[in-house]
Amino acid sequence: MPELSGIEALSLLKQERPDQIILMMTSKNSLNNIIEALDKGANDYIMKPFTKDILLGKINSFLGKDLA
Amino acid sequence: MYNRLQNIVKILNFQDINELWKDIQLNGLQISEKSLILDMATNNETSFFRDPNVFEFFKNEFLLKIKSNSEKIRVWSAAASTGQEMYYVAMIFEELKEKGINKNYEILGTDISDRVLKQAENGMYSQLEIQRGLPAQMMVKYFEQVQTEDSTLPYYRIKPQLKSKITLKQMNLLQYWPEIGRFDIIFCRNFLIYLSVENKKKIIDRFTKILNPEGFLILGGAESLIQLSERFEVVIYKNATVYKLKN
Repeated sequence: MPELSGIEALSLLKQERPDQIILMMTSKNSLNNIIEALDKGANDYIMKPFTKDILLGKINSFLGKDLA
Repeated sequence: MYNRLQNIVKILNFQDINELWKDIQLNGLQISEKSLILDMATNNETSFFRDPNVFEFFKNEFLLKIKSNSEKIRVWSAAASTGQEMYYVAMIFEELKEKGINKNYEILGTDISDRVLKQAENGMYSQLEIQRGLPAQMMVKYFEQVQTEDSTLPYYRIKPQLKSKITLKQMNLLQYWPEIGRFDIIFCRNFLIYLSVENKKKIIDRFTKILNPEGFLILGGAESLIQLSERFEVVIYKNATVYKLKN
């Protein structure tokens, strides 16, 4: 992203709205990236490439719904 | 299949299938394309956390309340496929252990297919498979990332601690059953649906003989025991329907 990295944006968002649910969606797939994002408050992490069912499943898990 | 290919076209930002095919002819099949195509072309329904309400019942109701005084729990994943379900069950036990609720457990995973059992035994999952229903927190905790020579995307391998209480066995539910003991709970999700009524009844009846008193049978979300067995009572837990063996 221009100006901010995803992690920086995550940190700022969490400062502004600590209860905001945030799913990171990124091509960075090292475990260190994922751990860093979770430590900074991401609720879940989606690695590219992903499929629609993965995305909807992750979203629905926070809406309390089951995709099936 | 056409719809699935259309999905791949969208994900990879091509105009249409023809454009994707031209790209493959010019540049060869990229590893990420191959992974997506293989994944979408197979009937890949296995997910870690499919029917999350069922796992919520398993943890919060079955383990923490119904079996709160049980020191040992035996679980059977009767159509284990590539192992996600049985590993997720193991993760639940491990998570409870961290909270001081230490249950001695054994998990048996069986399937008719040697091929899928091999993957279950390896405990290795592709990036797409690992994301299907598994929260990232569980992924970083219970899996290690593995780079392989034939893929630019990493694989994820289950950590040994999750394997120690799991036994895998090749087994055809419609044929001879070796001595496998008795179980407190049996998961047989999204398998019976493919069988005739007669074979469903046969297998369910056999389940009743190896379930411990007040044991539970867990089926897939679209399955039921209606007109298949009188031996179970229906238990509704939030949005999950589970089946308790009658006395």
